Amino acid sequence: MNMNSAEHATTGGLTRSIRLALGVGALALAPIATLATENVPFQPGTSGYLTPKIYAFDYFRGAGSAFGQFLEIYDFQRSMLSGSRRSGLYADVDFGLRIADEDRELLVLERVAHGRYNQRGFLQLNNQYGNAGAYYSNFRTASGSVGYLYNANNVEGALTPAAFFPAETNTNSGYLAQFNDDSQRRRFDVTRLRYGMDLNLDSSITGGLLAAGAAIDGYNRTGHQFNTYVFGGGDVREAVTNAPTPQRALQRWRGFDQDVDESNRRITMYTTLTPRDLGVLDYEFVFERYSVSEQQRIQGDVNQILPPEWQFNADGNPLRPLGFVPDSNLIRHSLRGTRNFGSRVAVAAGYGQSILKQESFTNPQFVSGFDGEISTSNWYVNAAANLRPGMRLSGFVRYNDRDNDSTFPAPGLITTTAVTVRINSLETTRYGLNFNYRLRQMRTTVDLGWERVDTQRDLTYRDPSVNRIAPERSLYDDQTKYDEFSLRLVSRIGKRTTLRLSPSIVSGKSSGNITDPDDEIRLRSILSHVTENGTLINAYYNYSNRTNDTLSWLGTDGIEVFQDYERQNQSAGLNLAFAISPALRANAGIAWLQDFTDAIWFASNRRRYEAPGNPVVFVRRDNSQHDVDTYVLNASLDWQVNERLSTQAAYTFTRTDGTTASGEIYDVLPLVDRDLDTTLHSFQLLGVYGLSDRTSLTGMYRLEYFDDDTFGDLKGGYHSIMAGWRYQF
Amino acid sequence: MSAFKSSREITTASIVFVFLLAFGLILDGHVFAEVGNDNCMACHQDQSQLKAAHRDCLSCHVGSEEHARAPTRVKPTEVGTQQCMDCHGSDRHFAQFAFSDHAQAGLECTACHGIHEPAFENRDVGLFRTDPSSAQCVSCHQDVRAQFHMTSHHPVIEGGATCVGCHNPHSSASLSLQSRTEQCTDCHQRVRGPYVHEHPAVVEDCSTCHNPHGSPNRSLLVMDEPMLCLTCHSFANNRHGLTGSNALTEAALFQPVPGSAFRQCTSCHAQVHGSAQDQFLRY
Repeated sequence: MNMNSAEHATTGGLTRSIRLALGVGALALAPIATLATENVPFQPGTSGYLTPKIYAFDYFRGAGSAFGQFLEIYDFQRSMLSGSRRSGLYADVDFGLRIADEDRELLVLERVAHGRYNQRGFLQLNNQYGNAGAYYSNFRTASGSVGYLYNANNVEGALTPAAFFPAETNTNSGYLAQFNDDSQRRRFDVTRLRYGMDLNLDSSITGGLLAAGAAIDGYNRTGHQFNTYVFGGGDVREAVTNAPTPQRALQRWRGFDQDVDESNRRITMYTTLTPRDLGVLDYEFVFERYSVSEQQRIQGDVNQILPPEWQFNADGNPLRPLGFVPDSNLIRHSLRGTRNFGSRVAVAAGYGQSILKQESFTNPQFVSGFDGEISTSNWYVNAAANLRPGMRLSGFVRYNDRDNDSTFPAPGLITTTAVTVRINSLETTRYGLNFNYRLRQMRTTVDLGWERVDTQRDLTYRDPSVNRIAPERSLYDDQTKYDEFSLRLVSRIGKRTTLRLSPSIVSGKSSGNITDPDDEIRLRSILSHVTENGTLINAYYNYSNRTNDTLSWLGTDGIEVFQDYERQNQSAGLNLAFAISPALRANAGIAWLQDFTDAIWFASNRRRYEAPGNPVVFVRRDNSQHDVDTYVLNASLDWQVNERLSTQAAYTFTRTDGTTASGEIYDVLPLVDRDLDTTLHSFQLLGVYGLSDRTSLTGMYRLEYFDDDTFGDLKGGYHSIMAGWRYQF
Repeated sequence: MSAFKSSREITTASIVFVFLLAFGLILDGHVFAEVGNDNCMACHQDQSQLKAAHRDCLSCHVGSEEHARAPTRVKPTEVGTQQCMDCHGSDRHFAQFAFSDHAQAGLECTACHGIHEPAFENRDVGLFRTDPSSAQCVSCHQDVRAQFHMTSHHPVIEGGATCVGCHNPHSSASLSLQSRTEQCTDCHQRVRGPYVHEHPAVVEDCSTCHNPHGSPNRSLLVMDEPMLCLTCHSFANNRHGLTGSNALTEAALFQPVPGSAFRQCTSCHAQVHGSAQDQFLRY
């Protein structure tokens, strides 16, 4: 059933025009991005390529060789010879192989590498009975290294000695005067190695009745991350005497080098039943095992690091964890069905369940008999009917239920006197209707929609007979309910212009989170135009503004204070794709994105759970605004200089400018945290020179420079040169 | 008066009619039998060799016999989603495509997939590390491409992640059997728990705090700390204020707040996704 034919008439021609404008297939050389075989038109026979290449790279400036580079977050390199992360050489090879007969690609194999820590490959085998495949990818990021640069000891103004000194008696917030970095490592990076394989049997084996398959997917994630924590007020004591002297406050706030060594294995099996004219029925079963092999830290470990005059509380439980990550098993299965009733009505439905079970435990969890388990059940029904040509009515219902089946109460861990609210279950039902009508004469499709979201929460707050966070002192409630009314318009204006306009309004009935929409306006719009000479012009503007002022805190003094939350996002952009000459094509784009949030911040004299036994009052301190603009400019050229030489160049400029807060918050934040003032330049130049029909030389130069005007240590650049020789067969 | 003057003429006319009819049928059948790839390629030799089952022109260009008979007068038929679904509709990946976001937006299969040659060819060296499918996605979703250039982003442009790793282009939210948080923990198992002490924002929706495409703030946060935290949480003076006083005097209630307490709530409440032990999510 083609439920989309109405709009196809509106937009189909333009799709072709856009493709032509983008220059698809216009040039003879293989696409340069990855030289991926999947972009090569089908040809029977054996073909492939081999591209040995050598890179020279250099990171310059930045926080120094002992620390990480900002640019290492997204491009981590290492010298093959010296092991240096700063500069060096490495060799690599890309290759692809494709074997095909008249009917299909029998084998496709490809490896694409951009260094030792950014590479991927896949193998695909096909025959008339089905297909099999395998893949891997490897990506390393040093985002933890940059995170480490932001730790309190590395940022001016990130410690507050006045919180403890000179009186040296403030044991409540005195910990803010000193941060204890226990890590010996200055570089933190994590590598994710993904892999998998699958086997799929085609339904032609069973006369079109049944297809089946299985897949194994997994990843290993290894490395180091910088983790922080703060001990409770009495956890660190004087050595030997175990006395809780005021100076203990200075030992509470700490950071350490945490190993990361985890793996995930997922087995998926499915079978798809396609009885003639009865639709499609698909069943899938998934078993997933997540294992953590890293050393699990306990709080008593701190005794090996603390200065001799301090110790972990001898009366405390040193077996309590630090950043514990449990092993877990996930079992999931689902059934989906699709049925078309003639060419007028289609129905799709699905049902799924999952159970997540904790498989490893901390000592306190073991002692308390805690067993972690989360179960979900979900279903949906979608239906659509072509009422008459060009007129369609569709609707859907979707239901998600999450139940927390973990042990509760678990003595010593979580009981009815625990501070936090416990989410016993979370049920969300979404349902809606869409009416789609094509105005043939106006070459316009109009889609009117309504959707309701209804979330019900079963929450357990602390026993009201003791001090607790009561519902009235929480911006979290048991119901979220809102309606969204939308209009989607797709209009062909003239032969070569298409306008897509999607405004919607959201009206809230009740809010469970302050970030839920009480009122919201959204707009998405895009205008595409293709000129007669094939130039593509594409402009978009997106807007959303969400407000919520319905949730409040009630102090023990009877005064209720309301949060007033507003979040606004805008983005606008203009993109051009055009041919300067038949051999020279260009793309250019500019984008502006705005993130704006306005909210009140409230202080309370005590922690909320200290009521009702103690007076807890809330005071409105200030309005604060998070206001950040980002500008992205990108331009690229694709020039076929002559039959042998082609060259491509690209430049991207990203500028971020704004403030993370305003008012009182802004005034007290350290400089590096209050302003965002960054610029990223990225330039690539590539040349391919054909030596013969089968061989070519490839050369590439890359330059990137990150400039942070608020945090000088992050300023730094990277450049590299690549030279490769490609043999094609 | 009859148009035919005699029975002989009637007989002759009948024979001619039957002959013409038979000839026409034969001819017509001949045309039907002959219209095939060879006929098509005689004119469309510029079309590349087709993939697999796509080798039979008429299986997709349904009804193009008329075009073959009168190439200049009758245009070839469009290939739309219906023709694709005739063969691929029983595939589990595409069976519910009619309800997908892309279909609802009026896009046909051919908007992304070429039936003769690849529908998209990445010739932007700015995307040279990007997975080919993701490069294709951002060619339309330019606003998302801009987000991938923000200071903090999923490494899609760099090739470390792909659009289809999170999004099924043949599906939609109304066809999902997972909550948003479950979708994220499909890759980020480290933060899926189960936890003794959960953070409601994590249980509800990861995107409460994170923008998965890109953000000007570190860790893909939708806004920086402390504002992100302070929209939902009040600030307790007796643990975070400069004096740590819990008094109700004006001076105590409005005591100075140290920048060290404001700048990174998660520096102390580090187990912000959930904790195995601590109700304050500190360790």
